[in-house]
Amino acid sequence: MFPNISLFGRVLPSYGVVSVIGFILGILLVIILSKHYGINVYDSVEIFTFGGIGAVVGAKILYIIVSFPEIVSNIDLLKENPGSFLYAYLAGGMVFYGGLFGVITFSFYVAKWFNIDIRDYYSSLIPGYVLFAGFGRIGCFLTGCCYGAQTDSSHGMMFQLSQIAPHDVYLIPTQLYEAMFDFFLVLVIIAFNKILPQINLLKVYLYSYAVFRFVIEFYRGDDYRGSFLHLSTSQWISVFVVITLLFVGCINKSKKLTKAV
Amino acid sequence: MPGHGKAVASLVLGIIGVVFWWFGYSSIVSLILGVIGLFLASSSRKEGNAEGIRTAGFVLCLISTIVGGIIFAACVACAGAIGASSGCAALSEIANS
Repeated sequence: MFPNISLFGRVLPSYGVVSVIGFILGILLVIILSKHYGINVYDSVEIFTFGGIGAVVGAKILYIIVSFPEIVSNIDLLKENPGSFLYAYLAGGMVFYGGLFGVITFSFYVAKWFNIDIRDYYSSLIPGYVLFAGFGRIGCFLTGCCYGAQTDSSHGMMFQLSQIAPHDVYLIPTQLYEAMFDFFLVLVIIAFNKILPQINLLKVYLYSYAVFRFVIEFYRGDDYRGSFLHLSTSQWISVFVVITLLFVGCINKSKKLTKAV
Repeated sequence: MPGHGKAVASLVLGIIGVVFWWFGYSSIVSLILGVIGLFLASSSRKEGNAEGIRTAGFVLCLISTIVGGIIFAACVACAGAIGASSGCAALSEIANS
C-alpha cells in the first residue's frame, strides 16, 4: 500500500513508524491497566519496554535462521552491493513467532532480574503486547508483506507500490484480518481478566493466537516462505505451541493431584 | 541516593543518543546508547533509586532507541534502494551492450 511515509522531510519505512505508534499505545495501555489493577506502573513499563526490544531481536533472529540458506547463497552480494544486502536482510524481514518468543524470554528474564512474579503483571502486559502486535500487522499491510492468496472477491486489495507483494492482482488482506483479530483479542483478554481473574492470560493468548494463525495461514499467498508436509513453518510452530501448552497443563494437573493425595 | 551514578549515566546516554539522530547512519549509535541507557536506568531502580533524573533518563533513552532505530532503518532502506537501482542500471547496460 504505502511502504514509505514522508515525515519531517525524511522518508521513513511505514512498518517502523506504525510499529512505533503501536508500541507507544501499548505502553499507554499498560500504564492505564496497571493503575486500574493497582500494579506497580514502573515495573510494568520496564518489563514491557525490554519485552519490545526482545520482540525485535527475536523476530530478526528467527528470520535469519529461516533465511539462512538464502543468506549463504547470496553472500557474494555483501561484497558487491552491501546496501542491497543490508536492505534485504537487516531492514526487511521479521518472523512474528520469533518476536513472540523474544517478548516472552525478555519479559521473564527482566521480571526475574527485578525479583518479581511476572504472572502478577499479565493483566496489564499482555493486552499491551497484543495491541503492539496488531499495529505490527497494520505495518505489514502498508509494506505489502505477509499478503494473502489471490482472490476475485470484493474484499481483495491491490498492492501496487509494494516491493514484496505481486502487482495488478487482488489479494486477500490477511494482514488486516490478523490486526483486527489482535484488537478484538485485547478486549477479550481484558474481559477474561474481569470475569475469570484466576485464568492464565498468557495461555489464553497463546492458544487463541496459535489456532488463529494455523487457520489464517491457509489464506496466505506468500508461498516463498516454504512449507513442509503441506503446512507452513508458522503452522508447525502453532502446532508445537498448542502441544507444549497441553503437555505443560497435563504436568501441572498431575502435580496438583499428587499433592492432593 | 543508591544508583545515582547509573541514573545520571542513563540521562547522559539518552542526551548523546538524541544528538546522534541527526547524522544519518550514526543513528545506530543512538540505538546502542539507548539500550545501554535503558539497562542502566532499570539497574538504578533495582538498587532503590526513585529520583526524577532516573525516570527522565529512562524516557530519553527509550525515545533515543525508538527514533534511532527508525532513522537507521530508513538509512539502510535508502542505501538498499540506491544499491538496487545501481544494480538495475548495471543490468540494463549489460542488456543494451
